[in-house]
Order: sequence, then structure tokens, then C-alpha cells
Amino acid sequence: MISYTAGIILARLLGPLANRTVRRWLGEPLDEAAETAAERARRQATEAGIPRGFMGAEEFLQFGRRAQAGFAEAGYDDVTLAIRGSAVTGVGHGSGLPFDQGRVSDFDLAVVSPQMWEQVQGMGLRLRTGGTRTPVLTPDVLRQLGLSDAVADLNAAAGRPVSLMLYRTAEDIAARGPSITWPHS
Amino acid sequence: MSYRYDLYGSTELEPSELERLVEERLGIELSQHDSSAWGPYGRWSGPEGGQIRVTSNFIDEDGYLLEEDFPQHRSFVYLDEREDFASVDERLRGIEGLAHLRTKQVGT
Repeated sequence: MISYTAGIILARLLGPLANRTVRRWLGEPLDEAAETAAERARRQATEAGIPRGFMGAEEFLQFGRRAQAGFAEAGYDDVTLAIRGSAVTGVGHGSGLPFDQGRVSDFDLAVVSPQMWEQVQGMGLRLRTGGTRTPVLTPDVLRQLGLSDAVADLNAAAGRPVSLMLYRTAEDIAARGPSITWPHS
Repeated sequence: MSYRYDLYGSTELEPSELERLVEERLGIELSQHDSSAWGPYGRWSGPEGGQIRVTSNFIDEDGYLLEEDFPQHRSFVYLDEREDFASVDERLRGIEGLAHLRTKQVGT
């Protein structure tokens, strides 16, 4: 059994994340203010669960940062990003197959961006599910929105196609079923 | 720069049959994918850029058809930003039961 003092010393020696973990074991109160943004994002990602197709929390967070950077470069700096589909549920809605079994499972991203939402209003897209979301954004729509390069970059990073669907609000994503949202880091 | 997007569809051919015919006609092998937005589909992208996809008229979780304008169609071919459009188009038009449905152009 680890002693209290030895635990505290061990925690300090092992760095911030281990510090938090050991302090949790010891029942020590956590100093949330001392947690860095990166630590907080990693903890939130771990708590929310890592979608299939990512090797771990860091890869998941890195993909989210890459997506945010690409969207910002295209002029959308207000994006909330989530992932849906078999990466979250484990089973493809259409195929009924487990993630990546027999077929490559795409990453199906759900995007909330008031700026993007305003852009698509004049594009003649038929909104779905009570006006809460668009259909999947097809390559011609992505091109019109200036997102083709960002999506191509995400395809390359993921090693699989990435689809985007635009939602009115984060609540509308949650209402449609299981999803995992990237924490803001 | 101008980009072209074409849709072909069939009311007769099942997606798997259309995939086989597209592979034969174009001399390509489609990779098999699954998506909650597109459903199970075949995809090919080559050095010419863009992509070719063969899908069903997939019904999503909320009951919406992938192509609501073509509810009678069972299967589709999407040609997106293909630089070799003319030669691909010519070979696709040789597939019996497959019709050209739509062209979209983005850019000038």
C-alpha cells in the first residue's frame, strides 16, 4: 500500500497528468485551475471515449485541431466538431457490419458553425430533420464553401474518406443519436 | 477554375451489379466503404484527381433518401472533379440501364 507522503512525492515526480491521477487515488482535491488547456482536452477526450479509428486521445485531439485549423483557413472560426456513425456506435447503419470490417468505415463528422450555416442558406440545400441539419455535404457543396482542401487534408490525415454534415446547433447533433464531440483545446 | 460534378443513375441495376459494370467498363477496382451518410459504397480515385463513387439510393437513419429527386432510382454513379470526364462519360454511357441525370458546375 502506497503511503500518503510517498504518493504525493511520486505524483510530483511523474508530471501533471500522473499528479492528477495519483491525487485522485489519494482523495486529494484537484486544483482545476492548475490543469493546462491541453491536459483538460486530453482528460475530456478520455472521459468521452475515443472513437474507433483513432489510436488514442492524442491522435483524436490532433485530428480535431487539424480540422479546426483547416476550417479556420477557409474562413470558419466558429466550428464545434463531433463525430457520428460507426466510429462511435461500432456498427454501420447501412451495412450492419462492425467498424472497418469488410469495408473501410468513413469518418462521418457533424459540424456546427453559424458562419457556415448562414453560407448554406442561399445554396438551395434541402434541410432535413425539421430544419436542424443539411444532407451530407457533397463535393460540389464543399467546393462552394471553400472546404475542399480542408476535407482533402483530413482524408489524408485519417487515411479514409471524411464526410461532413452541417447542423444548426450542438443539441441537434445530440438529438440524432450517439456522437463524440472534440473538446475545445 | 471550373469543377464539374455528374450524376448517373439506374432504376434497374442493383448497386453491386452497377459496381461490377463500372469496374469492367473503366478498368478500375472500387474500394469498399461504409458511411452513415452515403451508406455502403464503392470508391475509386486515381492520379487524374477527383473520384468515382457507386452508391445505392441509401436511406439514412431519419428515413431520407440520398437522392430525393430520384426516388425511383436504385443505384448511382457520381463523377466528381474528374479531369478525364469526357472519356469516363463516354464509357459510362455504354452501360445499359444507366442514364445521365445531372451536371453541376462550380467556379468559372
